[in-house]
Amino acid sequence: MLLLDSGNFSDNPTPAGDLKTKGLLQAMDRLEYQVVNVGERDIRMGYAEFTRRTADTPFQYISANIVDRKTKQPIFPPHAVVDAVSSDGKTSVRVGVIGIVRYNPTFLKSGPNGNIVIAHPRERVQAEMLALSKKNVDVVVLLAGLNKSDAKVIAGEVPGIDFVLGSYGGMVTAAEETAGNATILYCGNRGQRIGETRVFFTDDTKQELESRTNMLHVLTRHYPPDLGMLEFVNSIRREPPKPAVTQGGS
Amino acid sequence: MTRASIRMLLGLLALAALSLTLAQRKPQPAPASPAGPDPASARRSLIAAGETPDLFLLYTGDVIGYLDPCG
Repeated sequence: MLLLDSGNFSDNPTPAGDLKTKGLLQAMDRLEYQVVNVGERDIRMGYAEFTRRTADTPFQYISANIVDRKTKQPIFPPHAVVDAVSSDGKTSVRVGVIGIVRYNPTFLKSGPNGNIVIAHPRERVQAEMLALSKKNVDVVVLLAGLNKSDAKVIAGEVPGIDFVLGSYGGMVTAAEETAGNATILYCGNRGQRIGETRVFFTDDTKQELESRTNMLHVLTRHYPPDLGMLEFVNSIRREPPKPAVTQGGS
Repeated sequence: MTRASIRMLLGLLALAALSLTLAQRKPQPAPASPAGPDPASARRSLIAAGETPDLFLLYTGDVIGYLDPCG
């Protein structure tokens, strides 16, 4: 099993919002998310603040197109390679995961060594597909924090992407959509839904997909709560927000 | 072995099989209420029954700090 997030997990940068963001990341940790794409919301306070907020989380944060303004090199690992083992332990699938956000020429934030900007995602995806082609991956997933139509253009023009898993402005994929060889799946926003995809290969070589089942679960109260997780969420609600940390003040 | 003893043996075997079946059907005691979150349990409970896939992907995005069920 592989749990992925396409980014923009952060609430507003207020004391109450910070508490929710921290609680959400802790909950994702408990669920054992593995790879998280960095969204624009997540890095809007700059790189130093991002690393402070995410310091205690074990996820692989990736972004192929949040780059240093001068060097044009990604400031996060642009992709991740994960060996996902099936629940019966019989199959291990090597998954390459690339993360991108929408192209935003007005984005300019402080980075680890100067300012950072957002590069055009298509070129960056092409570069990372080339890198992944040397890493013997069975499946390529593109985590997309951009408009579905833009994601379709990229998936149609860059061969080799198997799944585009995205979120943007509440867009959902009601019926299966494809571009190139990729299946496009958008799961909405605000934690209202969770996407599920089950992949079956024709044989052990994992060269060809036999079938895939895509579902989008609407997380209403009809789903019974996990008691441990419910208690954890309640503990977050009880925690009083801490005052915002101001820099440079006395 | 006489026919009567064979019948008795078969009867005992049937009784033993029935006891075993009932024992298996006996409801297991409910697990104690967890003192804290059990991540492994939470993770397993995400997966509905069905044919085991080679790869199982779960994904979210744009959660923007929402912790509770919406609505």
